[in-house]
Amino acid sequence: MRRWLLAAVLICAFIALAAYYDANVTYHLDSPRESEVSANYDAYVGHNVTISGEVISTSARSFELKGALDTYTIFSTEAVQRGDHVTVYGVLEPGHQLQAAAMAVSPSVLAALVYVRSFVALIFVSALFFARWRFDRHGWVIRPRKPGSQERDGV
Amino acid sequence: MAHVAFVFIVCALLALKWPVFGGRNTVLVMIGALLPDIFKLILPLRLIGVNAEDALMLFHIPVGTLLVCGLCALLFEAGMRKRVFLLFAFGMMMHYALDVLLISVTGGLMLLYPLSWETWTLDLIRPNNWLGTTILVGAAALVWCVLKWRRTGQPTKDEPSADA
Repeated sequence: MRRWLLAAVLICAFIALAAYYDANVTYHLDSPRESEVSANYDAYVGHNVTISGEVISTSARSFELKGALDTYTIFSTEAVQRGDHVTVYGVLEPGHQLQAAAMAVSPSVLAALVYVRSFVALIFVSALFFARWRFDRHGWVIRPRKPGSQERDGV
Repeated sequence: MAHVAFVFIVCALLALKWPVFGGRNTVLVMIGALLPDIFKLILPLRLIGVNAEDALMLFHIPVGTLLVCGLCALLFEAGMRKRVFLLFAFGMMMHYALDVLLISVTGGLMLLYPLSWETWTLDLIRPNNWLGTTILVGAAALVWCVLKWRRTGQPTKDEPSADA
C-alpha cells in the first residue's frame, strides 16, 4: 500500500513539473524556436532564433530548410546536402529568411542511425537485465534471478 | 550505445574496488543511464503528428529522471529499493556527464530545473560523433574480454555476494 502511495506521489510530482515546464519554457529560452516564431513572425524579425528541419535544396550561399511548420531560406556558406538534418541559430529576417550564426548539421544517414544504435542498446540492456532479474507477477516486484549468486563482475 | 558502453567501463573499474558496482548491479546502472532517453519517445509521436517535445522534456532533465529512477526502484522488492535507486541515479549522472560534453546550438542541458532555467554545455563533441562511440564500444568490449579472461583464469572460490 505504501509503495503504491509513494508511486502516486512521484507520478504527481512528475506531472506537475512537466506541466510547469511545458507552460513556461517559452519565456526562458535563449532563442525562440519555430513554434514561437510561426505564432508571431513579425515580432521576432531581427532577433536570434533557432530553427530545425531538413534541407530540401541548396545553392552557393544559401539553402532551403523545411521545418515542422514552414520552409526557411538559410544564408550560410557551410556545406550541407539535401536530406541533412540541420539546426540553425541565427538572426531572423523578413520573408522566412535566416542569417545563420551557428549550425549543427547531421547527415540524413547518420541521423537515422543514431536512433538505430539507441534501439540496439535498448535491446542489449533489456536482454542483459532479464538474464539477471525476473519479474514476479504475483507480488508485482522484480527479484534477482539467482538469489545468493556468486557472480562478481559485469560479464 | 555510447552511454551503455561508458557505464560498463566505469562500473567494471569501480567494481575492482567496490563490488557493489559489479554483477547484476551493472545492468541497473546501465538502465539508469538510459532512462533520460525516454525523451526520445517524441520521435514516434512526431510520426503520428504529435509534437510532445516540451511535455516530455522532463525525462531529459535531472529532476525528472530522478523521479523516474524512484518510480523504477519501487518495482523492485523491498529491502533492495534504496540501493537500486542509487544505482539508477548513478547511471543517470553518467548520462548527463557525457551529454554535457556535446556541442549544442540550442543552449545545452537544463541541469538545475526547476531551481534555474539556465542551460549548460561544454561544447566539446559533436552529437553525431561516430568515432567517439566506436572507441567507447571497442573499449567496453576490451574490458569485457579482460574481465572474462580474469574470471576464467582464477580458481573458483566462495566469496560473499556483492549483489543487491
